[in-house]
Amino acid sequence: MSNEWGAEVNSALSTQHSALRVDGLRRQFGGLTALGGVSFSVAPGERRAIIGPNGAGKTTLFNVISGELAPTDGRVYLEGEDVTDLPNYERARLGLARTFQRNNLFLGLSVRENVRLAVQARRGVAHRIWSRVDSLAVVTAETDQVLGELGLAERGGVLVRNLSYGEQRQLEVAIAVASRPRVLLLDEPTAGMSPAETTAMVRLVSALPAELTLLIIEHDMDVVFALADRITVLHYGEVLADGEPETVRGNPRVAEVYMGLEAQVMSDES
Amino acid sequence: MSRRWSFDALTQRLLAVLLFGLVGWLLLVPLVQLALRSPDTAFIQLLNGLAYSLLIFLIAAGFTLIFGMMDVINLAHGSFYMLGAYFAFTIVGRTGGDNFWLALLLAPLGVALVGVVLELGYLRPVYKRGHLDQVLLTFGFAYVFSDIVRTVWGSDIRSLAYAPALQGAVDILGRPYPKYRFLVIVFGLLMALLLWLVLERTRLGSIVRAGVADPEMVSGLGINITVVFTVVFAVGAALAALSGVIAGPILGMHPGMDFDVLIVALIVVVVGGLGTLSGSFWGSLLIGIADTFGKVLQPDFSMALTFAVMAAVLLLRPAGLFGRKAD
Amino acid sequence: MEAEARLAGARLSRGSRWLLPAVLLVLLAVYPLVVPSYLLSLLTEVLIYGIFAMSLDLLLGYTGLVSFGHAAFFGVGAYVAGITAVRLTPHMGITLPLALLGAAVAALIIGYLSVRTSGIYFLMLTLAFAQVLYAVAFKWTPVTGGSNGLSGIPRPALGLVAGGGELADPIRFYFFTLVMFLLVYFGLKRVVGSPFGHTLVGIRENEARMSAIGYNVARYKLAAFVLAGVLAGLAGALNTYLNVFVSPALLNWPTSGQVLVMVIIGGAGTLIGPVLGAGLVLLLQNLVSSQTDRWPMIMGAVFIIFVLVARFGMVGIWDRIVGRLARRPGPVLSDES
Repeated sequence: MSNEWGAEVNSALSTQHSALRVDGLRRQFGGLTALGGVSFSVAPGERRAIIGPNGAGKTTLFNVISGELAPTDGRVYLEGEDVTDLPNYERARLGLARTFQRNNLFLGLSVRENVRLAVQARRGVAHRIWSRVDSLAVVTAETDQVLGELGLAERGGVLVRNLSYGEQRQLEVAIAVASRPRVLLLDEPTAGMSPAETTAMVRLVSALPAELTLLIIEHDMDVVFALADRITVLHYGEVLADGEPETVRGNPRVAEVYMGLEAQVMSDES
Repeated sequence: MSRRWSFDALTQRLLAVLLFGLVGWLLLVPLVQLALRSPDTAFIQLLNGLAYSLLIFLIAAGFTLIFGMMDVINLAHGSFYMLGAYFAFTIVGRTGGDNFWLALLLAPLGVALVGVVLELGYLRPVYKRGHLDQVLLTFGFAYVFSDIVRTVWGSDIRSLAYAPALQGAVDILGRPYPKYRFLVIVFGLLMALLLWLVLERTRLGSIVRAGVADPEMVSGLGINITVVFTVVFAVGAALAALSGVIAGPILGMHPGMDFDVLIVALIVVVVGGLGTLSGSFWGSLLIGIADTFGKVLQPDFSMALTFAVMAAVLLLRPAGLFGRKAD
Repeated sequence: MEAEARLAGARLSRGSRWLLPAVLLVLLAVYPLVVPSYLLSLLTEVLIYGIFAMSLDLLLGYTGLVSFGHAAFFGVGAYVAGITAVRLTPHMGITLPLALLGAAVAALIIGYLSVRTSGIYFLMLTLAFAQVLYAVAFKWTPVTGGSNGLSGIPRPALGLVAGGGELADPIRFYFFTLVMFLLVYFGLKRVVGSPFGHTLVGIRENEARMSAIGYNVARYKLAAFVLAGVLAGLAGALNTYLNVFVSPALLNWPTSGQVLVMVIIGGAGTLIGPVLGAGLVLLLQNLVSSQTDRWPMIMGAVFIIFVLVARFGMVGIWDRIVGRLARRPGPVLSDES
């Protein structure tokens, strides 16, 4: 993956702050408490996995961090700056990018155009009303580069709705990566993928710049243990455990939650 | 640690405050003055506003149910109102109001039939295409209906004769008030109550409410959702037509009435919140009473005031008073 | 069902790419010299409504904003051009910029209040504001002439001859309008091919994702809204110069409806489509109205038919007949709104 991206991230970060910090995040939906006071801090360059059973509030957490949802209470700090009251597009401009659990693509446009829109935003040329879109060589070059990085170079001209599910999932990541973010949120990147596709995705994520801070929601434990520096476990909207993979693996309460689920799965199968 | 306020949010709140201030100054202050100076007039206008609100509610309720349930924006809804009035006009004919009861029954049925044909024949193929296509299609039909009415009944302003039994005045708190309008209020409130009961207490109602919340789930439960759609559409059309019949004697009829009423109904639904019946109810009350007093206190600005109220509400609550943000 | 309508960018060979537009231009230039005067004013009107329809296409076809009140800006442009001609000076160097400014201000205000909403709320608000302006034009008799409209407007002057009226000759005015039309057409073509234009399409295709990748969507919508409003105002001013009369009906919903019909029947999201739509609608209107009063019904029926079976308009039909699908997917009209 490009060295310039990593260098950019590095030069932008101040080493005093965490890359991302959430403090007492609560989110109510009527009577339902999706997040009941979540706090944690992610260091620059860290790979943090967010795991937990379905309904634990993981995607809600991402939505609050990225700005799609406002929290009922609590604050979000991006590189030391309080972004809680900022709309999602301003957080994106500050270097935060995310993917979505269900593909959130520009279905009627080509693969190339999907990525180009992200590159164009990042390059600050989106407002230009008189230049031809092809004439911006920098944008074109970067678009090609991202397509190459994500293995979509051959598929540039294809309409997104004609892509296979796995390719769409790749594009989902490509759009986020095209913004060259400093903090990247990946929401179940391998959801619905075949083992081969999953391996490719893991390889891709591993190749992202080391300076990039990464949060991944995942269900596939193999992926989690392959990628994560630290794991945060959510359960019913609260942090159940937070630590290095081996510590979390050995945590009895975590085992209980997952054991309970495994036992259920096994009894369903028998 | 820096906290950043969005410039947009601030300007929006400021604008909303300004608009409410404008409405307050132009409407509420004269209203209070009127109430103090001449409480009888104020009271009468309040009743008029109530009657108007309930007429609007019948229309808005149908529109919001259709939207909430089927996700269809039916711009021909005003046409249903208009057709109801004109059908009633034909049924009442020259009998001088004796057939009013018949019209009250048959006109909504006739319009419901029109609605069914429209839904089955034209809307159904277009459901999966999204909002834009429905808007365009129903708009096209509104156009056609408008011209059909003009062709069949002419462009003159007409009024609907109503049953002699309903004429005259009643005593409200010692003051005379037109019996017909009073009955409109009573009937309107009863209809609101009836709608609420049906939605909250019957099986059909719970199906409709579930359908508003999650149409796919409902069809997954084995209920024939398409039949329910047609029923809801027909009922919505009938409600609008009923309102047209009832409004005929008070508001008169003319070929532009479909559109005039559509605008008001849309304002109400937007202010109250799309897809919620209570939103339509309170929205109708707010807009209906504001509009009535507006016409009395500020005849040149009444329309602008109504829009100012709408704009102010939307600035503070973009999804309407009771609305939920679209997923 | 995959509806993949493409731009009518037929893949002709290099040399012949210029042939069709060149022929059209020659035809447009020669037309007034060979044709009776009422057909000339018809074509002038088509060009004016072509500008109006293209401006709505920018909003509807490219940005995905369904506005039911676009007549507001057409009307504001028309009235400002008329009122300033009556009260200030008939010099076009004054009336035209003022008309455009008026439309821009109206679009800025209405746009600011509307673009934060979407779907039916947006539709509703744009419609409502247009109706307010209609009511104002209808009632403000001392300024707008009220329900009778504004008449006695002097012909536009260019300051070249004493007494003005340089464009009074229909052929001269036609060429003037043609130049305006071509400027708008090629200008808009450039805009939709620019990063800004592609941003608008992105907003149409997936507004939520655009926001997530850093676009202040409301601001772009507002920019599109104002640009569209100004161009509609231009059309309105030209309309006033042509007819030397302004009626409040220009602000009423049937006008908004008619231009919407033109865009859809022509083919939204193609720029040339709406122009063709304007031509077809005005032509039909002329033909039908001379035989019967039932034009609204017929237009409504034609519109319904197009929405049901030819959703992508005449351009869409052309694409299907010719069978040529442009390899590069340009601003396509997705059938998911």
